[in-house]
Amino acid sequence: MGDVATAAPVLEAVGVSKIYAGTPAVHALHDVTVSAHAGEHVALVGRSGSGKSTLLNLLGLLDRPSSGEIRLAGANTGVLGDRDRTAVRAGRVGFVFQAFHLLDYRTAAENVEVGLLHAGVPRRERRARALEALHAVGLSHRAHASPATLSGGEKQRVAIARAVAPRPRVLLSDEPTGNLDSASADAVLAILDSLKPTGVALVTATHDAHVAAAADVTVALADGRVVATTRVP
Amino acid sequence: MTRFRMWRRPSGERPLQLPHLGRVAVARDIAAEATLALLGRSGRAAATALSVVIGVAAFVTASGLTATARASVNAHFERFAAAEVTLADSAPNASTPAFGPGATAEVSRLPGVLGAGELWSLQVRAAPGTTLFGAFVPPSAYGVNVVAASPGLLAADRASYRFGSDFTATDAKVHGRVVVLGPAAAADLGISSPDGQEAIVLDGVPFVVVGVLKGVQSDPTLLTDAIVPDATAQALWGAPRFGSQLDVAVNPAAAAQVEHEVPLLLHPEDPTRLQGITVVQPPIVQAAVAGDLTSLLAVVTLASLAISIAGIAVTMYSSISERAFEVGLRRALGARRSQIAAQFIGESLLIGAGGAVVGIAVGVCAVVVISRAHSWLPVLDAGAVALAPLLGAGVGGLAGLLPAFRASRLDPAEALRR
Repeated sequence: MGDVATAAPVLEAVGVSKIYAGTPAVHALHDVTVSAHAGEHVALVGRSGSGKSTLLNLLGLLDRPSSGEIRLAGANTGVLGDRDRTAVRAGRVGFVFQAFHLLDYRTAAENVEVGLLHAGVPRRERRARALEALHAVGLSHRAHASPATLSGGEKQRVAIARAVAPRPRVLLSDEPTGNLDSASADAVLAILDSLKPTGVALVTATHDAHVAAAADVTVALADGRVVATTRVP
Repeated sequence: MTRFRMWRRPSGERPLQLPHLGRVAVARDIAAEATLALLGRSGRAAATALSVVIGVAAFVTASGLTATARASVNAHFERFAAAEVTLADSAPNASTPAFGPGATAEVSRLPGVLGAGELWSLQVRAAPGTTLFGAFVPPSAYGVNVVAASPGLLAADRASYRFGSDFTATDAKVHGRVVVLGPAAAADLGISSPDGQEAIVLDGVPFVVVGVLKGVQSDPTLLTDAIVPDATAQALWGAPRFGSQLDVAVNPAAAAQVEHEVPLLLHPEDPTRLQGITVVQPPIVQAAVAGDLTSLLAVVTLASLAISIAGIAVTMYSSISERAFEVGLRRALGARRSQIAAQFIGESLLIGAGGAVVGIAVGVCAVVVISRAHSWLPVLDAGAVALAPLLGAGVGGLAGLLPAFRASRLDPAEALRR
């Protein structure tokens, strides 16, 4: 990843803090700075409640920081209204969730198409691109299967296909192997790793040491603060 | 076609092109998503649509039964509805009677004629004095007018009776000395409850009271008269002079034709001798009944709409919690708030329209079954049946507004955590 150090990051959190209002207010993140370059895999590690998911939501423009900036391709997203933030998510950010979040009344291919639909891909292109994405995760033969008939690993691979089909610049994963057995987790990890050459910046929140070990950068969080950043040489 | 809108960023940075679809394509996609979402949860959709099925079925049943009842009521009214054509003699010096023997029978055979009877005033008065039992007759009895009428006249005037009945053709044929009194005449003569043994005296001749009128639908002057059979009157006091009239009860649709034909039938040499007047009873009661039925339909319609709207709204609103992750997911994938709201409204529109179609079928069956049970001819309000799907869709759309708003306001990060 020698070029990474010199290139501008695709995604950055700069001095980000997040406070949830309430009594008492919850200070979820304190002055966090994290960046992910194209083709780089950044793992966010830490205990439950350390702020990983909060940071992931901020990086995915699902939430707004109380202070600091989230920059995408160098641009501050804080100036964007809700409509534009939604459009950025649609075109530039992919999400993978621990619970897969597949629509149970749609087939695997249709679930992938939902991602393309909201990304603004014309209908006539969706099916081909969905099948292409399923092929990339090794599930061409399960394209017309209902999620109820898929294994956990297959569900997560469909979810990854849904996330990458719109060809995002950033892929955010929240515990992508958390609900999987080790074989399925390895398969998912291999798929995520295979995305790096496409230039996608990967940010993964995880408890899984294998996932962290496979990342190019590991950012350790504790109590909402970055306590260590380790870059694989 | 994919279009691109520019993400306007602070100066010095290259713009990021964001794809988005045209409105038509977005609308088509949302409609497809709403349809697939409903098909994917067909059980819940059916349960949600149940309130619309009930509401629309109630609406169609009410409108159908209203139309059926209206038709049935109209048929009843038409059965009793009649106009009256009164033909009067306009030739005071004529040598022949205006209505000769058999005139009533001839007129009764004309198409559209329900009954006919001749009537003329007699130059006699109900005599003071006695009944058969010698009861006192008050002085006002002097004023009671006496008329002669053919046996069909009171029927043609659709008389109703407080006591007794009309005199018969046999009474006339045998010159029976019988009399029917109008209620005012009966009161004047002190006749309260004739039992076939009370009588009044006309020009010195006793007449048995066979009936007391309650009312007549036409010619209200009869209510103050003492009415005797025409043949009896002719036998006692001679043929009618100028002033006789023929009352003809007719179907309203045939009134004008009858008024035109009777003078030609009875006086082909001088039809102008008979002057006709047509009176049609205004359908006040019919209009009132129709108004009541319309009011009933309006109440049932409003109630059914309220049931439908509440049913969909409550069910959809409560389902949002279950579908929070879907909303969060779609928002994360790039769906705008308006698209989320549109999908929910689209679903409720489809539920409303689909429920309406089923409701129509149920309502039509109900109308047919209920009508058959009552031996009515089922009549369906085509307008209501055609309107029902639109009504259902409208109800669905309206009911979906609040759930759609709530769903669109869900925080995506919060929704994904549920």
